Amino acid sequence: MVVVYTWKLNDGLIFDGLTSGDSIIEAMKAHEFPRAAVLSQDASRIKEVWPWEMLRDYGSEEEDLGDEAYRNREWGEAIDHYQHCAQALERFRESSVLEVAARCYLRSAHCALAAGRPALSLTFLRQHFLMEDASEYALDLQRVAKEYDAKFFHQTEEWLNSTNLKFEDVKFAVEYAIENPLSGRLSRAEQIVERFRARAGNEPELLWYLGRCYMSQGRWSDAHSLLAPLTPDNVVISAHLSRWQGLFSRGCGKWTPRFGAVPDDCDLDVSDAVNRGLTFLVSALYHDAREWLLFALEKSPQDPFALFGHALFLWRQGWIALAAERLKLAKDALEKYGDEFRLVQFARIDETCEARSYHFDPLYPIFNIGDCLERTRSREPFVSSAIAP
Amino acid sequence: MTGQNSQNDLHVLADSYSQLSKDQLLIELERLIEPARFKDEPSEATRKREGGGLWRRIRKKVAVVICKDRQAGGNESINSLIMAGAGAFIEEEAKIIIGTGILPGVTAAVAAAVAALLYHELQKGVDVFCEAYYSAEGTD
Repeated sequence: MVVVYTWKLNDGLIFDGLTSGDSIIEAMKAHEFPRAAVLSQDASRIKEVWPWEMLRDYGSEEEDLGDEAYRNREWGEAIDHYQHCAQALERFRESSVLEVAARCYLRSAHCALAAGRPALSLTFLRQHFLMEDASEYALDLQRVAKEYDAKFFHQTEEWLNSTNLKFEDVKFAVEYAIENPLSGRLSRAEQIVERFRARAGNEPELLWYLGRCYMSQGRWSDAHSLLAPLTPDNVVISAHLSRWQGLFSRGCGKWTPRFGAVPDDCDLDVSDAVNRGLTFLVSALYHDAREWLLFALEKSPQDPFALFGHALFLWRQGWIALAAERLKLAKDALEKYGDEFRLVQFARIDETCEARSYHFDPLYPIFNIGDCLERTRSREPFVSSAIAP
Repeated sequence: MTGQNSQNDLHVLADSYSQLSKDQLLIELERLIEPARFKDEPSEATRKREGGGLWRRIRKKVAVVICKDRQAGGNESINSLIMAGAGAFIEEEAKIIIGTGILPGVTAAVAAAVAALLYHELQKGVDVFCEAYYSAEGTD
C-alpha cells in the first residue's frame, strides 16, 4: 500500500555501468547518493498517526454534518463541513474516496451559490471537474453560477465609477475577486479599494482589504509593507500578518506542524529535507511539508525541488499567484540544474489502494513543473489527486 | 509520425479504437502509458482507475484542440468530423494531437486512444464538453 514517487534526473549518469537488473538501491550506493532514510519511516509514521479508518470516520461525520447544515440552509457551515470531509480524504486515491471528495466540492458549489457567492461556487466546480466527469446537474449549477458571476462582475465595473461607493461595496468587491482570483478581477478590486481610500483615508480595516488584494496578486512584500506598521496597535491585523508570514518562514503563523518543527540541530541535507517535505505534501500534511521545504530552502535557496514543493504548498493554501511565482523560479532553477545527480523520492501510504510506484512521466503534474505553472497561470485551484496520482 | 505506413497504422488504430467502450479505452490508455509499476498484477478495475486518472489530466489539455476560440453552437470542422463517425474523428484528431505537440512525446497509439476517449465525451455535445473542461481563463 506504499505509493512511491521517483523523480530521476540524469538517468544515464545514474545508471551508467549498471545493468538493467540492478536495483535503485545499488545505483544509489554506487553513486553515493544522499541517504534515503526518511522515506518509508515518514510515510509509516503518518499512517500510524492518521490511519485510513480514522480519517474515513472523520470524513463521513463531516459529510453528514454538512448534509444537515445543507438541509437547514446554513450554507457557510455546510461548506466548512464539506471541505473538512474533502481535506480528510486528500491522501487517498481509491475511486469511491475520490467520488466522496468530488461530491463535497459539488455540494460546496451549491451552497456557495445559494449563499450569493457565485465566484466561490465556480472555484468549487473547477475542483469538482478535476475529479469527476461533468453531470447535467453540475453543468446546470455552473451555468447559473456564471450568470450571477457575470452580473457581479458588471457591478464591480460600475463601482469603479460610482460617486456613492460604500465600504460594504469595497468588501464585497475584494471578497468576490479573491474567491475566484482571475487577475483582472484582483486589479479591479484593488482600484475600487484605492478609490474608496482616496476619500476615506487609511482605516486599518480598509488597508487589510487592500493587503488581501496584494497577497492574492502574489505581492507579499507590498502587503507586508502596508500592514506591518499597523501591527503594534491592531491585534487582528497582527494575527493575519503573522499567518501570512508563516507561508514563507518556518515556525511562524498560527498553524503548527503535526509532527513538530524541524529540530535546531537537524543535520538532514537538502535532498533528504526535500524528500521529507514532499512526503508530507503528498500525504496532505501541508504545514509539516512547509517546515521541511523551507528548511531545505534555507540551506539552498535555488533548489528546484524545494522551490517546487513550496509552490505546491502555497497553491494548496489558495495563494495561486504566489505559487505561480515560485513555480517560475523552480522551472528556471531546474533548467540550470543539469550537471548533478538527483533522485527525488517520496512516498504516500494509501491504505485504500495497491502498492505501486511512479517514475517520471510528463503527464503527471507532480513531475512536471511547467504543467503546474500553466495550471496556476490559468488560476486552476489545487486538487491533490490532480497533482499526484 | 510521417509517411504512408504511419498513416495506415493510425487508420488501423482508429478503426480498432472506434469499437471500444469508454471503460475499455481507459484500460487501454493505462496499458499504453503504464504510468505505475504495481507490486502485483493489477486488476482491470485498478487499470481502469489509473486510466481514468490519466484521462482526467489529459482531457484538460486536449480540450484546447476542440474548444479554443470556439463560439457557442460550434465550429464546423469539429461538428462535421463528429458527423463523419468515430473512425474518421479519431484518425484526424490523433493527427492534430501529434502535430500540435500538446502531449509531448506521444505515440500514435496513445494519441488515437486519447482521440477515441474524446469522441466518447463529445457525444454529450461539444458545447457541454467545452463548458465543463476547457478553461483558458486566468483573466476575465
